[in-house]
Amino acid sequence: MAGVKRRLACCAVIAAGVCIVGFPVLAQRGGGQGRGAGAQTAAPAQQGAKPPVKIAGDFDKVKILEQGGATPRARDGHPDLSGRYYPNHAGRMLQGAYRIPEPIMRQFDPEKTPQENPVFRPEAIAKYQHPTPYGSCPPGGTPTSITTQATEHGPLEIVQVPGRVWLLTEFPQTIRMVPTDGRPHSPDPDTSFNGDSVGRWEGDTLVIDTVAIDTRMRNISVGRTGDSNAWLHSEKEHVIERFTRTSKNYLIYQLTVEDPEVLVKPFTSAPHVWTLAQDPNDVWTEYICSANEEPEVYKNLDQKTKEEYEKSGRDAATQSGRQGGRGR
Amino acid sequence: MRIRLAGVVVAVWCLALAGEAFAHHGFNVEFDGSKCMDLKGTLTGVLWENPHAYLDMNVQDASGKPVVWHLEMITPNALKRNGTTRQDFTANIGKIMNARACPAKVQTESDQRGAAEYIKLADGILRIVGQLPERGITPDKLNF
Repeated sequence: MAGVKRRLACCAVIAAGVCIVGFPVLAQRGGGQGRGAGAQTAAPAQQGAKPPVKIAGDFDKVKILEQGGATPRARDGHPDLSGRYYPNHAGRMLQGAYRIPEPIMRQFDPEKTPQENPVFRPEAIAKYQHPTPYGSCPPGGTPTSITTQATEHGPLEIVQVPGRVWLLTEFPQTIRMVPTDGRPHSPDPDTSFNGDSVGRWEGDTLVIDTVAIDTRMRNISVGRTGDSNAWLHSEKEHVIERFTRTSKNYLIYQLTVEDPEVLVKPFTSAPHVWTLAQDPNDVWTEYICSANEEPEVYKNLDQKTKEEYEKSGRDAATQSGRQGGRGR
Repeated sequence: MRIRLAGVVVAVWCLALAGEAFAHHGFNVEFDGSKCMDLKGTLTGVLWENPHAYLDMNVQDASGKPVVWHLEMITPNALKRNGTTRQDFTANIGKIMNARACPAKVQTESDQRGAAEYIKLADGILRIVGQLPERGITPDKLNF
């Protein structure tokens, strides 16, 4: 009987047109139930077992964003990249815990555009492979401010004006100003976390070239995602980022990192999808990471697990290039 | 050897998952995902700060003694964009709430500390406010 109930519940879920694979309880009940703003309903596992409950987030409305029309153009004829973008196909901030379907959540399809992980020089792993220290809020920089959104899911805002482009991220809270007026790199640039960047147009693609990146800047989610896979770099790190706005709603970001002291060969990411924020009420939010649980909490950590975490990235690095990226 | 390698791969995968969402720190270092529990009590406060928002709730323990639970959540920017605002908390202060939360591995002296997974304030809306280390606990399986 219980099996019949389960099958009935399953049929009801399918009939409701659920496309939320992997998290079927997020199936939306029929409309017109007076859901509040920012809420959706979850069907109970067994019909009649519980009344439906509203779930905050409007995740029942999440879908792959349409292209939205032609690429906007600036007065000079180049694509206008200006806008706020999220690292997914939904045009809004998502939350990993909600188990959004992968085709919506991910930035690339590893089947169609596989991404090889960085291949580290064996002798460089011990020196450069360092997970972000536990509980720290390190500054961003190039390219981490952008790539780390693979796990932060936060926005990248681009402001394009004649002769320059601004790249803004909430966390790590970063402001990058990139001249696009044709100037070359400074002959003797100061090092900084953002590095010395210059931009140029190659057709409809903005190519940003960056050198002189502070060696304290960790590459996070450059290849494998997450802080535990972070890696440091030498003074020779050279980053090339390619931004292509393929339609009003879609921006493609592709990254190449060269560092002959650390990598066997340059790392080039898959083309990563970013989509234009659709909610006009989605405003910029301050995110200054204040590590607000210190100092009391950090005296009482599980040291064994902490050490395992800080060792994990180095273990993964020894398997460089042996598996594809996770797609986000 | 094969078993050892598999263990490393699984450990790395688990740690990667733990740090997947709005990571300022991983989950497993501080919190015990195997001892998560249902809490019912009164919402007494909210701290709306980066990198973690917190809520406080008063819960009666088995002996009837009031205990303060200080529950960590994800970042305000993510909460706000996913349907949970500071005002949702302030509107429900002093009212009954439910939480599914995982305790800190090492408690502080002053109160009970944990990480919230799901909460339901007095407005009746279920909110996913943290990481979900309990893979089998989905909204339909909650006891609130």
